[in-house]
Amino acid sequence: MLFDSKGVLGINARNLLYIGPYNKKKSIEMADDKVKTKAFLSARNIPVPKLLTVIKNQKELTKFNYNYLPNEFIIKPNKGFGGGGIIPITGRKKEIFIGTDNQEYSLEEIIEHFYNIINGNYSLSGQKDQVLIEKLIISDDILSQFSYKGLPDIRIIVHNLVPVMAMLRIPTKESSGKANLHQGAVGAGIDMAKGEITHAIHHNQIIKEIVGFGPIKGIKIPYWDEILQIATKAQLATNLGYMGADIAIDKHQGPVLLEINARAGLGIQLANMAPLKKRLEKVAEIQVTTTAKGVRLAKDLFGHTVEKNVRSITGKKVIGLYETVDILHQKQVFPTIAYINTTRKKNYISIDLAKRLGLIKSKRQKDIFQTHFQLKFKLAGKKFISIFQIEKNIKKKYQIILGRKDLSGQFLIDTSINNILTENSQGKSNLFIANYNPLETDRKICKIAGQLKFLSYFRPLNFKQEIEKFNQNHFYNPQFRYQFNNDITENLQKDLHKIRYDSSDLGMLFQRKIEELNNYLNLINARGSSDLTFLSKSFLGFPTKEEIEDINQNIIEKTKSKTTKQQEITSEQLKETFEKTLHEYGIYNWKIVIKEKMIAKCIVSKTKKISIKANSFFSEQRVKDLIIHELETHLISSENGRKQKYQLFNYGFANYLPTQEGLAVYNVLSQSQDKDEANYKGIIAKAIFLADKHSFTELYEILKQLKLTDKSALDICLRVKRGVGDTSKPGVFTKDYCYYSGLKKVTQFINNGGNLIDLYHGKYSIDDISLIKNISTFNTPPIIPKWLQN
Amino acid sequence: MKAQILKITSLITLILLLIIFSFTGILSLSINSLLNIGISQDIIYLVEILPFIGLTLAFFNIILGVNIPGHYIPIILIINTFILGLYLTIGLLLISLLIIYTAKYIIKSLHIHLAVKSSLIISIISLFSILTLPILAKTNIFNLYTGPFFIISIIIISIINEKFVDIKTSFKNIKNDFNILIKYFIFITLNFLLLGGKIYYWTTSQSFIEISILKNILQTIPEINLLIILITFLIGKYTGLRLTEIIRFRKLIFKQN
Repeated sequence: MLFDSKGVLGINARNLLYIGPYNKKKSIEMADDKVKTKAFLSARNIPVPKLLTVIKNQKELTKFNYNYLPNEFIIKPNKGFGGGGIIPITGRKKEIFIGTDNQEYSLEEIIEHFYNIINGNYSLSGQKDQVLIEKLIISDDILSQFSYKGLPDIRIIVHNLVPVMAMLRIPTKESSGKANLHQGAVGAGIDMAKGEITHAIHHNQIIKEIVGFGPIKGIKIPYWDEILQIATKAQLATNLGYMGADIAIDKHQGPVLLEINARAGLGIQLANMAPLKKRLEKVAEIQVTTTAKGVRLAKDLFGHTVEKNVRSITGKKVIGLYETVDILHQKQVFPTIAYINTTRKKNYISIDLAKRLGLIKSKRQKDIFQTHFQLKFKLAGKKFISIFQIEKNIKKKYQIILGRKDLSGQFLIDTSINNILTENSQGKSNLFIANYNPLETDRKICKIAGQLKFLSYFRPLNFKQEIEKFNQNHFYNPQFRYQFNNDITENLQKDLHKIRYDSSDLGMLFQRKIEELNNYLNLINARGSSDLTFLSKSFLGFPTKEEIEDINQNIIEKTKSKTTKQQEITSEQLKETFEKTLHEYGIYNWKIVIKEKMIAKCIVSKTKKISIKANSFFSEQRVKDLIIHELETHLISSENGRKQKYQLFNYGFANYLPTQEGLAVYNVLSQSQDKDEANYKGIIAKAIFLADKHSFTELYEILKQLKLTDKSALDICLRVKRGVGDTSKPGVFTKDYCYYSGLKKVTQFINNGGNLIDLYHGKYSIDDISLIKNISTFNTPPIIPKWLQN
Repeated sequence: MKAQILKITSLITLILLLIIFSFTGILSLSINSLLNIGISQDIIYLVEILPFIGLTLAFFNIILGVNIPGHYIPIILIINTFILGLYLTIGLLLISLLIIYTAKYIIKSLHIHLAVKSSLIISIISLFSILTLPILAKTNIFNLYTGPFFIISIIIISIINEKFVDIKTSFKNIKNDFNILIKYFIFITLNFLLLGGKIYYWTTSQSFIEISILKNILQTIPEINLLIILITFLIGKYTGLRLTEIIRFRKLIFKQN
């Protein structure tokens, strides 16, 4: 050797030591043929972009029907290399095709390009080739936010079934939206264990940030484990011993394998600032029997070393100067930001947080700062019980200060992984959390919110049997049993704890949602126990005495002589009416299903589905009310929320439910003048109030005295006694209080000059309108009910 | 196992052949008989230099990391340099490249078959060659060889240019083509100099640079080519970093230190 390469892999070594010995000619030929590769890998359950058509030769080209081409597709040479000949088409105006850079291609130009591909202009060794037309991949939001149009992809080098190195290739303006480093794309190294970006290069020079976006270090690649699995499986299937897998992340489909490369380039080493040959030598002798083992090895061998080394040597976890901490108080979790200050011995808490925790309800100002409070908290997975003092001068950026008394011997503090205090454009201080990506946080929260089918946990396992018993004997108090999945709730809580946010408007909304989800999980854990009532009242609210008096006067007195309406419309007819209404609003992508096991008669879900209870009957008025309530309030809010940048607008920010339900009831009141629904919600609120002091049967009797039908009375009892185990004892689930409280809030909002349209950006609390408006994608919601359109 | 045995066997056979050829002087005997027949030493020399050109090609590609495109084009260009002289070769290369780009620009817009476009380009180049011959003849800048060789050389350069600038490539590649041209110039000049070619200070000057060491050795001991072949083979086994890679990865290499 003329020069010690220090483990850096050059082309000579790559060709002679890896490609030659490990990549057989047949495997290379297949890798060079995209059509064969796609068919081969797709048959082995490896996700690949959808192939729309292949034009094999000039004869097929002359017969090709160009009307067949969709509005979005991508043209590729089958045996192309280096990105040559690839044209993504993102739109079409009759016979003009629009590329990623808004370039326009006439039909003639497209035909000529096809012709050039077939003639071998872009193929290896200039041989005749085929044209591939694939479905266009829309990049995942997290990656597309810092790439200039085009499709960012992840190149992973795999050897001996172990992914040894990975790089994110980011298209830039200079590369005209292509992800080739030679053409000016940015290459970003990825930590194999965490899937986080480490370094970035542009034209072989290290860069600290991407122009127009900022630093990208620490951004986590979504679906990282899945991506590693795909790359390893592809190697196992193709038998290419030294292989580069190019994987993109489709917004809807997730990771897809774009192509495999038998001669992967070497710039990946600069992007990772790590020599590739060293890694290849490390894995060469290991016997790897499965792809899962290969992925595990990759993470263990090639993950972030410094922190791991320190941790493995000292046994202590490494934390930064600012960390998120969970305060565990009164069976609730309060996530907050802590400043780790080793110059101070004790722990301190801000006045605001102390008030939120209910620690200083009626103490004199003088006494506040002298009182000590014992609090439980969780930091970096460890639980502590410690004494806190209130401090006046704690800045708004963090809520508590943790001193060295509790932390000594527990952690090592690394200032290099710290969160940075910055200022936003309004001069407001902002705590920038390291490795914090708002889109990723949004996605994680929505994932957990989607997994947490809250109300489904409250349907007792023995529901039918107990109701039957009650129906046979109205003095029987049902004994409900619930399915307990502590593992699931525990895991979800752990996942919530790991989610990062900062102190911006959006960060605060995230924080509140995380708190809400934590509280939901605590409620689920409290089913069947005496804690349910307490937690439900604390978290979901409880009617006040004044509200009950108001309900008694304005609702119950006035509805004593309620007439029942004729219910002629079936579930199937309701479905048809719904479909017609949706089409009037130009909404075609919702599914309406009729379901058996439902408590409510109609539910609009976040997954574009409306469920109607089977074998139900509805009056005309009820149908009208349902359209206003479910479609013109909830569904429209959901559709608008879906169009927002952050999906929480669709899933719902913290405390969105009272506002949504209140808005729905208000709309029904104002548009159909039907007070029945509003009155019914008032009665439910009263039932909640009563259930706190009465058993199931007692409550049922009281509701019957309010002239409710047997069915209505039973329905209400079931709603308010959900989650309770032994219903012979007082106990209540107060979720349905949100209808009444929400209506009150919305009415107050309108009376104070508020605009209803402001409540249609998505799903959020009325109290958060000012924050929501700062982060909403649009000034005016795209879909609004007919009566607001003028 | 079989592959390894085959490798070792081939290596041993090659070394044995080299030793046999060296000791028996078979190459020298063969060249002597050609000279006796009446073939000029200069023509024989054009064949003798081929292994050395192969060596420099390998050296440029594998050791330096400077990719000289094409396997035969650089060799043919160097041979042409010995026929036409350095300045004429480079000059013709440049001018015909210019003619090709101009022809491409005109023909590209014609709506005719691709294969015919290429034929037209070649035809234009040959016309150009015929038109320039009288002018070149008047300047009297022939160097080493005259007559039929000259015409063949012109045609060869033209064909190389057609290959060099493919009708299929777009004008965006002009910068790329220019880079390739620079590499060729450096490569052929270096080889021409090392192999004993005379580089005049200008076409009409009588002063020149000539490094005749290698030329003398090759002509005296043609068996030295066997050593050149062995070195070329050893370069083929080199797995270290290329010079361009050392520069490219310098931050990474020195970081390891």
